[in-house]
Amino acid sequence: MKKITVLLLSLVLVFALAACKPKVEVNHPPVINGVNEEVTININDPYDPLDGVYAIDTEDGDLTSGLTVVGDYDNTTQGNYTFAISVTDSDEETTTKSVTLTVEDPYSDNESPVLSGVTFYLFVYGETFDSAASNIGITSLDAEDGDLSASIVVDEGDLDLTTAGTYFVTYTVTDSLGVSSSLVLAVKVLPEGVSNPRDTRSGASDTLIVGTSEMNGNFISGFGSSAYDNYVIDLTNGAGVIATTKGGNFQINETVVESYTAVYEDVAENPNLTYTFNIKAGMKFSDGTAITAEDYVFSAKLYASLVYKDAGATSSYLNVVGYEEWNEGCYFTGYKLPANKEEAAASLTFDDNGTAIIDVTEWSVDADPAHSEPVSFYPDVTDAWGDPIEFAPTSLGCDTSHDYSTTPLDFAGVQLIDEDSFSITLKGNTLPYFYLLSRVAVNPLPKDIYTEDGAYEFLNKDELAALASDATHLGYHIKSEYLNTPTISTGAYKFVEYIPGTHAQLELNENYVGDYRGHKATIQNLYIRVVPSATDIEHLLNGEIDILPGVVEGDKIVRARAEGYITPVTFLRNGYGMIAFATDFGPVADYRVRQALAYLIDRDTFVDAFLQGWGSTVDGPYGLGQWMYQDSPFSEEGDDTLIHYAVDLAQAASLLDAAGWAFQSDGTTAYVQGTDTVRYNAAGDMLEINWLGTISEYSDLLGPILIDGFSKAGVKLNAVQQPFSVLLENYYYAYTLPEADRQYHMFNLATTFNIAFDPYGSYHTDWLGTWQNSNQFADTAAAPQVPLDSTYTITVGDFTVTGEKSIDELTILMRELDPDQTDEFQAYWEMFIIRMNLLLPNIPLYSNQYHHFANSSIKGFEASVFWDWVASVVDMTIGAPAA
Amino acid sequence: MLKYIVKRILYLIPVIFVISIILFALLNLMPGSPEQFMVQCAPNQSQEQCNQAREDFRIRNGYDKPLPTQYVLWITNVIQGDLGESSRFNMPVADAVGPFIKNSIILNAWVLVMSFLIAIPIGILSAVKRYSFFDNFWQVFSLLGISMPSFFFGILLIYLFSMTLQWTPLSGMITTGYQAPNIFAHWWDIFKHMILPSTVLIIGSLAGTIRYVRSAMLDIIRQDYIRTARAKGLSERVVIYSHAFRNALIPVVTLVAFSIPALFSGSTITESIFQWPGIGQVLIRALNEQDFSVVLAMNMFYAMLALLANLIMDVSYALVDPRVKLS
Repeated sequence: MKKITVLLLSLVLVFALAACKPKVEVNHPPVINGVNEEVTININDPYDPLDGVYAIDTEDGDLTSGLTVVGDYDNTTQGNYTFAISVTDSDEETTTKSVTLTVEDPYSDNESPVLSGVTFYLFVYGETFDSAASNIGITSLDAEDGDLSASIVVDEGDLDLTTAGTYFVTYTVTDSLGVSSSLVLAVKVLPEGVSNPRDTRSGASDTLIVGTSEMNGNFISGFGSSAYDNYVIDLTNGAGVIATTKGGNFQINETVVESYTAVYEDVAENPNLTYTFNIKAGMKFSDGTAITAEDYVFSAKLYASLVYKDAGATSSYLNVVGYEEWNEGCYFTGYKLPANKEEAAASLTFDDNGTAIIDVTEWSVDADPAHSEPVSFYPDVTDAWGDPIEFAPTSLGCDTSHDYSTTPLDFAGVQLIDEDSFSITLKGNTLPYFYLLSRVAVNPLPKDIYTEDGAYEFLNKDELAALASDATHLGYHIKSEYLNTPTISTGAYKFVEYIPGTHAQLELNENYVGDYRGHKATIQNLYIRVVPSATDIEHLLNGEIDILPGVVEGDKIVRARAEGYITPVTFLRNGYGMIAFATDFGPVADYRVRQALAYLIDRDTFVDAFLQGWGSTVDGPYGLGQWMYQDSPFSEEGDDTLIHYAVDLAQAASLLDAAGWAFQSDGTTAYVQGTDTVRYNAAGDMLEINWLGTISEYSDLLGPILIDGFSKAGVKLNAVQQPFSVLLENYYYAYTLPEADRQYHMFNLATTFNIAFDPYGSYHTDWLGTWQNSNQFADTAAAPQVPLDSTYTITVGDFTVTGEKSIDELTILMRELDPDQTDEFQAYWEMFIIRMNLLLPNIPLYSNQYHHFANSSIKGFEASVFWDWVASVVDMTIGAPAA
Repeated sequence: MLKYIVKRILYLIPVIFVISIILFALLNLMPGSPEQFMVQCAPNQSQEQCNQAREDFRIRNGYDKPLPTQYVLWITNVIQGDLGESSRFNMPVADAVGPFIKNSIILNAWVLVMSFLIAIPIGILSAVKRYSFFDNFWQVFSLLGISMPSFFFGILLIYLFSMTLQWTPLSGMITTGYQAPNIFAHWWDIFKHMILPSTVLIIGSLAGTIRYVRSAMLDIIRQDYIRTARAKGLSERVVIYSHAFRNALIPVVTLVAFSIPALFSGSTITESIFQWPGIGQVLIRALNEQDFSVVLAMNMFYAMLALLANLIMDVSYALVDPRVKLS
């Protein structure tokens, strides 16, 4: 028992001793529970990170009310956010839990439903009209939900079929995510008792009359044909080996080409590329004679020949091997060009002004003409100002020792192989090229007829020189006999008659092979009739013409859309209107001044007034109809990749300040916005901009907007309006004047791009000091106007460009691509547009929606920017007259 | 007489030379660059090709040479009958403008004949019945005609007769697609197209001619020999039509001679409203597009016509008025 007592006592002692020691507190950290550590929500979904989260602490109990969120997240913006939920107990001990929040945009991958169908309906009194989408032919397809045509909702607006006028019916479709698209159908209601005046025109059932401005009568390619002459050229020329598709692509014309090969020469550097075409048998000219490979060879040779050039025509096929010899009419002895940097430097001397003088006798002779690069640069060989000097090769002229009687001159790159095949060889040093096929495009010409069965032939330089002054040759023969009357046709129509100032008459070519889809025209007679622009719409209303292409004036569009048996066919322009700067001269040489001016022009107001809704403001040198634009982010609503330059006085003022235009006339006192009227720079020069406009509605509308905007920021505008020819003279050639005689800083004009969009010739410094680079614009990798951002990237498809490039680099990169490198082209193009939008050699203004108008009896007429009425004519038919 | 005519023609030669120098200089003072208009880039053409073509054009047309050289080249060719080639039409100037001049002559001849046929009797009657309602009406009406801008008047006629009543075609010279069965149907078709433009031109020209004839007639009526004729007891009809009218014709003849150059010239505005394919529109376009050969040739042609018309006027004066002697 004592033992037990001792044990118990010692235990008590131990406990007592233990109790006497200072107490050691062990705090428990708070515990956070209920946290979802990886959350994914949709944009704008309500999200509370503390929802369902609770915290307890051993010591403090429930700490839920003390939970805090550390870090930011934004459930209204797409992105990944990491933040923490944290709680601290009374012992200052903190527990955090990390949360990763992903905010997703469910719509970013969701494509809006697409509505397609007609946008115009002509309602004739007495008809019945059911606005249901299925009845009108409007359908809807959604990438995710499939065919939504059945759920299209119709809003008839104030449609009143008993009162003449134009009404708008809206078709709306909504996909499963709630995203909707709509399409507006314009319904033109004609007054009671009005019949189609076309129905009473004699012979109207098989005759199409197209209204046009005056033609020049130049109906063969190469002779400065106008856009209206080109109608006849395009209608009478077909059977080409390359076709331009409805979508604006160049492709092999399968209606004509049986088979083809494209083979690179077997050399390491710059191999030439040979296209061999095997044409289909049985094709015929309009007169019934067979089209053979020889006619294609003849055509390519003619368009590049010396005799054609001598007759005043433009030469083609510059990129075909042997072009220079064929076009000059002799084999060259060779070229002189600097073989290396030392030779280039040795040929230089400088005059007193420091201008470089080149002595070509110092250069080497290169016998192979193929080696003649257009321009050679040696970057270290510079003039007194440090700019690289251009060394253009100098031709040594014709090889007089060559005996042309034994080996006649030939176009080396164009060869006849047999009756059905021929080849065209492209120069390797001009490849790759994005629009490659455009360089081998060739249409047949009737060799036997044009040469009068060999009475006329291609001539070399000596033969041409030896001709008697009154003698004619192949070039003149074609010009004098066929330019006005191109009697033999390969196109959808054949030429009948041209009456100057009145019309060109054509009739169906029974032997036409069809376009690239094999489509052939069916309307028997076609007239291209000259109509006065003052009453062109009236001609359509009166039924005197059937089609009026390319209407741009707002008031005419409004009228033609509202009255008569007229149907609009619209398409977006492949071009734009702009204010162009001479960027080498005066205050506008500084890009900041150009930007400031852009911020001062109320472009949207101008565009609304000028286009009356048929087009929109653009922010770069593009047209609304270009595929690059439509595929780019720029075309998306709300996209802010490009600076929009909305009117912003503060921005303009700070840019002008930064550019040094920050003073009053003494050059020292600061310019005060709102008090002073004109800005000066430190040298005391006034900020004056001289604008040369034209005598046109365009300039009349623009002038007041310019004056109003500029004056607010202290920019003095001197406005002059002159005929268009004067504007062009100044725009293209003012650079030739001494600086003191230069007058104009800016011009307003509009441009339409080629199908092959290639800005190299307009903005590259290779063309500096020529009228081709009309802005005299320079932005190079060595001297960029704005520093290039090396971290900048653009991704299109699988292709990423890293590092911003100068305009010089971009214009080259865009063209030196293979035709299938569309992602690359798109990426460079976007970068080009973004940089042009920043540097503003031109302030872009507008791009139009163009209208063709047609009598409602004409069916099958479709148009796009690449698909004019002459291309669509093969699908047109004439509907029966109304009963 | 013959000697006089030969002398006059010889005098004309230096005048024509001076005119040619002035014209040539004036034309070259015009700013602009024709190659921008004349050499269009084809859609499948590269920029370089197009640039080269424009350079070639400048050189080919000699626009790169100094002015005096250009003048000497041009005048030498003109003397040899080569008016140059139209850069717009790509053919010799005479061939290019020929059809347009022909169309202008058709329209102008009709206008000239009609306006004299209408104006001469009205002018005479107005003089005879001076200050009557008839006189006042034509004074006011013809003034209205000359004052009304031809553009406005043309559009008014189009609205009334082509759009509303649909009696006449809107524009042009022939009906598109109409194959005339014979020459009369062909001319009838042309006539229908000519009604509106010629109405505009005739009404515009009446005022001058009516006033001219009226004042000539008034001058004559006050002459002693008219009083003598009346005193002889001749009927008023005979006095007016055989004594007064024939004498009043003398100034009218000169007016006719003076109108001859107008036959060949176009009326730009009327032609363009009605798309009458005449020379007026071609000339304006040639100016705007700097088709120098056409502008020079046509202006030289008009200058020579004006000189010639002067000569004809002087000669015809002598022919119809025995009091005038040429020496």
